[in-house]
Amino acid sequence: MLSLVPLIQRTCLALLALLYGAPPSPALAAAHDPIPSGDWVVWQVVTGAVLILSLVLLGVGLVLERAGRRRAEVSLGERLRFETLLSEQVATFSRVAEADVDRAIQRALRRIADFLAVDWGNLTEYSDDSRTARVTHWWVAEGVGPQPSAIGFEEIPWVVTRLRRGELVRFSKLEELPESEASVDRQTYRRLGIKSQVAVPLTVEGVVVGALAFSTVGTERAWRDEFVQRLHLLGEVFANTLSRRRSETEGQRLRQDLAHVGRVSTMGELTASLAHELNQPLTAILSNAQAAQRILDSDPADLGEIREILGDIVEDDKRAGEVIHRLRGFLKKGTLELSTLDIGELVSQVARLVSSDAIIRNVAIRLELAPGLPPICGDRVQLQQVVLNLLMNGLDAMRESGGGERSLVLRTFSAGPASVVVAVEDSGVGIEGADLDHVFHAFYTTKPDGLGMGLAIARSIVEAHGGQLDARNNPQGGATFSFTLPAIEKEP
Amino acid sequence: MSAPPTALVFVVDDDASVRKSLARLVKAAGYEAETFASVRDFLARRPFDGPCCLVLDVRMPGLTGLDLQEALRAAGQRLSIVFITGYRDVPVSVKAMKGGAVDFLTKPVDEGTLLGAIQQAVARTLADRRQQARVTEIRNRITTLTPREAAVFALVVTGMLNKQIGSELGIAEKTVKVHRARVMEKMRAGSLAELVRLAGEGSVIAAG
Repeated sequence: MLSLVPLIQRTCLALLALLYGAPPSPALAAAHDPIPSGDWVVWQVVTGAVLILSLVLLGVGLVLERAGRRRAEVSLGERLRFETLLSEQVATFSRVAEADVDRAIQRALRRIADFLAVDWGNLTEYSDDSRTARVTHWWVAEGVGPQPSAIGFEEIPWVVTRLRRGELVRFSKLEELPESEASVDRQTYRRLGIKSQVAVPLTVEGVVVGALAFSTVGTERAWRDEFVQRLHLLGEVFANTLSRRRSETEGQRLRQDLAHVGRVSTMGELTASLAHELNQPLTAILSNAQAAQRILDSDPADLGEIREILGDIVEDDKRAGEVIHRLRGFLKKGTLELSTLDIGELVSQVARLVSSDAIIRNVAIRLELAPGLPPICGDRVQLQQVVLNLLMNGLDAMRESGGGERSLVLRTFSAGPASVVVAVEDSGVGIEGADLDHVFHAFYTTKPDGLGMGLAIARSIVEAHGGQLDARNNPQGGATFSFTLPAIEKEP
Repeated sequence: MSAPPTALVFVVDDDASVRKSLARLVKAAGYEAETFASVRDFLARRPFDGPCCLVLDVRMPGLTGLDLQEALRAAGQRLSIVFITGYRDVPVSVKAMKGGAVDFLTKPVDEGTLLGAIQQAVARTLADRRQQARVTEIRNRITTLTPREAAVFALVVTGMLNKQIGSELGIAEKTVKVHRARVMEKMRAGSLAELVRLAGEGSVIAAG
């Protein structure tokens, strides 16, 4: 079209010159020479008609050219704005904090929807069972009615199939959807009032997890290729953001799980490493003592050797003592991470931790927590270990008890204004009189597979917190282990 | 103590006082004892031919007790092991026992348990070595056989008659008889039954 314009202009100028007697350019003269002069009138009529036609064509050409140029300019401006909008989104989402993800997506949807002048923009997430697309984020134009919060795959089977294959879906009017294959989709969109839509899949690690869609309600509209293609980029940004958040949430849960396991196993690890450190001197002491016995039985007994052995035994015993001493020190200073704690919350957490264990052992754990207890100051993990140890001991104690109700009562109460008490009361076999004096000693155990360290460590922890751990038998049977902790006194 | 009084007990443990005390106890029970602070130290010692066993700690810095067990097996050394450990580690103990350990004891070890295991280990070392010596002896005898004699030997012990062996090898029955007599002589077998037993002990039946 544009290339026609100069041609038309030149033709017109030449005709004007001919018409008004101006000397024709040589080129034109050559072209018109063969026309006979007798047909002058006809020639004039023809040239007049051609002139008029040419002027019209000239005008139309100019108008078309202007219009074409303007449209190209507008489109360029729009595209520039759209690119700017997209790059803003990319920048925003690359640094958005986990807590702000939802708001940022919401904002982005609104801006894009505004720009595209659509009525409804939404982000959907496909359910794990691949049956529904749940709308997780959306934006609806004013005056547009509420839109569904989820759409079943069976309601838009054709569209979902294409999206899940990673393809883009675009229609300017419902009639563009294939009549037979997408008849269900058509019905659904008709019901929802959706006239046109563009949707791109959200892909995380090669799997389509949802879709980003913009729709118009009430009016049909065409979607420009360049915008539609760029929506893929936005889809990628959203998908990345959501997957990042999902993995962060999972990571957090994992950390919590690990913390739980850690709490349960720290005590075990401590006793294991302790057991090893103590085992060496204990092994040496035992072997030395038994060697000495044998030497004494022989004749003549080598007293020099026995003296040497006894010296070694003393050394190894000191070494064992140092291990215990180090443990005490480890618990007493340096490693306590103090914070203000709600004792009721702390014991509830531990109770939850052992609840499944209790169910398996057919024991009911009852919490009797006094309300309004003052807070305490202590190391959360260590105190949890103490409570955990007492609960596990209680459960173990009931292993041997026969029929009757197996219950474990976990109680908190106040013992004066400056101290709180945590008590674990079991309905087990109780503690035999002789054992009662030794239960807190290291290596004292009544369990076949116990090391006898749990209560010794528990007591060290409680004492490091300025409290006291006690054990007594209940009048009705079973035993109660309780510890006091100094409370943070309330300001008068 | 019914154990041979001359048996030598090697104690390998990285803990000096454990090493010393175990050696003392073992000596007080009538054995000889030698101590080593590491697997490397022990491997540097010349192999001992007499009655002996190894009391071996599992966890040590550097090479572990299991590594030593593996090294001895790889070297074809017959030396029975009593493991002692500070950890009740089931997978490790299973591995040790599967590797032929006599026992896997947890520290601290009571003398009755330890000395009982040592006695058993010394006995097993001796039995293993006797067995090993016998296999070597049988194999040595087999190497004196000519290829034809070896072929006859391999077929005789499967229960074949001379006639069958002859047709199998494409030689006369008479010739088989001659070879067979040589085999009996070289293998120092008094009867067919003994020859079959020798073949089994030397694990040569399949090798024919």
